[in-house]
Amino acid sequence: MAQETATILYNTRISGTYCKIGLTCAPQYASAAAGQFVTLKIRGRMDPLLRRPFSIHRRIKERNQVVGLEILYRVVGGFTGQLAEMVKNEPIDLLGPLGRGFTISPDCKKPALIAGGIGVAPIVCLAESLDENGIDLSGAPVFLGGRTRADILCETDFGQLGMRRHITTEDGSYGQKGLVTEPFTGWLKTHKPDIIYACGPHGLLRAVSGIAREHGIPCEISIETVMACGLGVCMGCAVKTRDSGEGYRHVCKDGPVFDAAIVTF
Amino acid sequence: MVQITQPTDVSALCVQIGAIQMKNPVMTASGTFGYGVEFSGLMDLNQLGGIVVKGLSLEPVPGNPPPRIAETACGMLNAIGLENIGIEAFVKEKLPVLKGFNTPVIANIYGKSVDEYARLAQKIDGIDGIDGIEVNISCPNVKAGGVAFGTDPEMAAQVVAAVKKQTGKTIIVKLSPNVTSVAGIAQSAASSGADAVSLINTITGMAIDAETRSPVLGNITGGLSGPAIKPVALRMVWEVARAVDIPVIGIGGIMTAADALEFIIAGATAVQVGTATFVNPSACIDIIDGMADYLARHEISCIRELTGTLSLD
Repeated sequence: MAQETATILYNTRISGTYCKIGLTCAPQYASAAAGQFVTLKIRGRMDPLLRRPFSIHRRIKERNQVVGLEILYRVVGGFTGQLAEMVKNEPIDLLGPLGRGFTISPDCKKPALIAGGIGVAPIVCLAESLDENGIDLSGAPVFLGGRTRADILCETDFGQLGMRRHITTEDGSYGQKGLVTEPFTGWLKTHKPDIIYACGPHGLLRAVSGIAREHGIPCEISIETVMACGLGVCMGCAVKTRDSGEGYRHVCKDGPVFDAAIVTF
Repeated sequence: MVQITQPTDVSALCVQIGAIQMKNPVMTASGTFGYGVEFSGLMDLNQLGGIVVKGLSLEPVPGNPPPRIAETACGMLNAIGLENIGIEAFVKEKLPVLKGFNTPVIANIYGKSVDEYARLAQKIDGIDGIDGIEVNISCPNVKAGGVAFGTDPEMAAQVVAAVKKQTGKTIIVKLSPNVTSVAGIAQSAASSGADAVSLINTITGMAIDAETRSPVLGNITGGLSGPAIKPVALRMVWEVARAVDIPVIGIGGIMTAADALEFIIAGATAVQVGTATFVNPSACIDIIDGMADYLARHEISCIRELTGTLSLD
């Protein structure tokens, strides 16, 4: 973990309210796990005050060396609005890699990936990491859901890894109409993955965790909360889990990726 | 491992709080720096004036139900509820690491009764490596104790006297801004044996989501911190510094060296940096460097000369 002044390599709007920003980073990000996150701060700004957490979307490589990070973000409020206005070569305060990422085990050769909306950000990093770890993803499923066509992102990234994409939109403007869990439960009738990985809105994670439990399949989910420090000191990002007794676990340190079996919704 | 370094001019920034000699007047504020050890990979803890650890109780405390944090204009609300591992786990698991650094450690303590404060002080009195006690009579986010002792001069006096009876270590009393007369509480703490007072703790506030008509925080109300509260904190430090003879530690929205210096000029001997650490984990170090630069620029040989030098002409 390190705090550094990163330089913006690029900052591009990819569609609608979604943007991608590339940042220089310390070499230690080479060992960052998919699902880990960073926090960003535009120096000198008092409002918004706190750092903002973002999943690592992709590691930028040159000759097999990690030279930067890519963050996929949606412009939703004050911070992301300011971030979207930043340009190449501007400095930004970067802290990371933080938290606990997805577990990649050589025993799990048949993963199923599920992402809702901007929740796709760490799932792309995960797919690339699985691939780097020798897990054959050709034909492996990724279920991508969104409200509308504009919320379906990174299709081609999964396509390049040979993954089979199942698309749903709530308004039916692209792919199957409905929720991402519908094609997923349909697919499970004829397939049995050995691990499920998911990131997305609370409702999606709750539904996926329930499905995983019913089918007895291990499942890891990345959850999001408001956080102040990102370092496990402010205790602000507390969540109840089945194994936390009277106390709480903390998303920034014990997560953001949790075993779905311990999360209480 | 971070290299051990010393400030270039040790004497210019050094201050004394009770029996604690500090190499500079910048401490971490309780609740914003964990148990200190979490930051050892991000900075050289030897550079800090003092480390005030997360509020400790006799037994572990689980804290309040989430959400515990809400960001507000130039500030934040928190309602953590003093989640902590308890004094025993702190001494066993965290203190041995902190003892490896050449920086005073101050244990912030919180009890639900006068007796609990006394028992905490008694335990700490015999522990090597804890240099002082900050008595938290000002947490707005717990139901029993905390701020209940900090809003009544008589109750504050009882807590401070009970702690004083149990320990010879330096006692700092952390004051609440949620009172009519903060100077009155400070005087009460001073006459009961406090070596210093620190202020302000957070200002009670709340946030509401108009869409759902529900409070944003699980605890409904929380404590406001950050640059939004600095003017209130400065006024209170100024009032208290004129009312008591013991050192005052200024806290509240300090983000920069200039902010810290304003508190010193208002009458503080030292400062604590809190929310700024969330924004920039190395904020304390930047503030220390900036204070040293100020002293050099204004040809002030010692920070102590600056305390209470507000010009009213």
